[in-house]
Amino acid sequence: MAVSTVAGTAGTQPASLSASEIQTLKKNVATQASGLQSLESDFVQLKRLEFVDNAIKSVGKLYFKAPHHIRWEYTSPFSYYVIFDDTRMFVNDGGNTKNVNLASNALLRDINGLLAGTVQGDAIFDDKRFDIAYHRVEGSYRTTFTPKEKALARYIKQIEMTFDPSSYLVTRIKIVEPSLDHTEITFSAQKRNTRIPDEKFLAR
Amino acid sequence: MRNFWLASLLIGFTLGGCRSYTHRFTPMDQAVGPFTPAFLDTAQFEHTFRARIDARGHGMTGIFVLKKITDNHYRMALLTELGGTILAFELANGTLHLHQAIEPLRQKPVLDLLEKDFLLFLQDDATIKNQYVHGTELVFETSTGDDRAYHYLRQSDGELVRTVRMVGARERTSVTYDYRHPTFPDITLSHRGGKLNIFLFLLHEDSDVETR
Repeated sequence: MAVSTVAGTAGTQPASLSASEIQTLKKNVATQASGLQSLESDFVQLKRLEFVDNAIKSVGKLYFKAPHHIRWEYTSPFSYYVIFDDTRMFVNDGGNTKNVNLASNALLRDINGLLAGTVQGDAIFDDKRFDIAYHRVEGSYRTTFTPKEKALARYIKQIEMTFDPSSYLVTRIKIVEPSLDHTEITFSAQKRNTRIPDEKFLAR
Repeated sequence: MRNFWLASLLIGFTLGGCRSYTHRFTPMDQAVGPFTPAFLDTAQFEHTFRARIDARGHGMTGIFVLKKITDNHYRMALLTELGGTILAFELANGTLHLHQAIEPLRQKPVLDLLEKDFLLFLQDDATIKNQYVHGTELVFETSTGDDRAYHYLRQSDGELVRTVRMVGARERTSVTYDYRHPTFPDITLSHRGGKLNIFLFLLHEDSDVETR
């Protein structure tokens, strides 16, 4: 079953990258990430549970500002946003707000680091923390991260990231849980280094 | 005289304390069959809800998914908005089976509470032990173990509007149903004293889910 999550779309055989291709991919992603000051993107999130026939669909916008400001703004099926930075997570749920100190929650801090890493792309290539597999699928690059740490592995079995072959931005993230339920986020209309008002990252 | 006054006070206090929950109801004689809420009365369904849980001053929100597999067999999961699974379990013939839970929820008292709470409105063909009329409502009494549940149905259209779980003479939990959508009601489940409140708001299927 785990293999099928890596293989991706039925009928598409992923081709493993050679050592030199992996180095080139990492270098290109790092170059892209070092120049990434901000990112604005639409996203569609599909949560697939093993026991239901229909995926749960959420739609929204992602805002990122270097180095660690992220805003996930959901517009459908309901209005909700969450802001992460180095030290806190702020939630605004239709006017009800909540602040979480990440310093006191190692797991949340970890997940925030991963989120920032997935937006920028380069920071997540961490061989100490993940077993990483590299493939080419339908012209894009797909990397599959399997956590080595037990604490993280309890919640996440694999993270799959797809990189656009020309912009080297992350266009799709798939997070597979130990139960094999998974969340797939597909990004579109990605805009690099546009001016994003600081207010987007204010906790209010 | 003084003894009589004290005795009457004690008797009154005792009887008043033990007064039946149903004393204000009018008993009905005719037997009816087993009870299934109308919103459960289809072979299978899947619904998605906006969930809010308030427990002792702490609040959390998420997405709640409910599937009926067969009569008295339901699967459900509570997810974060970002997609992570907080809790996944099933109720099969009155028993909760845990599939997945974050650490603080992986405790027997929590799971026992969830089992009792969700069985209040996810039970097909419950045996009606007694039935009553109360104003414009029909009241069905069912029981699970030592607990009794009273289901209030509007007589005009037969819709379930409220369920109350009693432990002894005390109302422990209540569930109210708001039929904003015709397929399934919004659910508000409240524990006595406001210690735990669960709100489930049905999301409209057409716009909120995508067929696999």
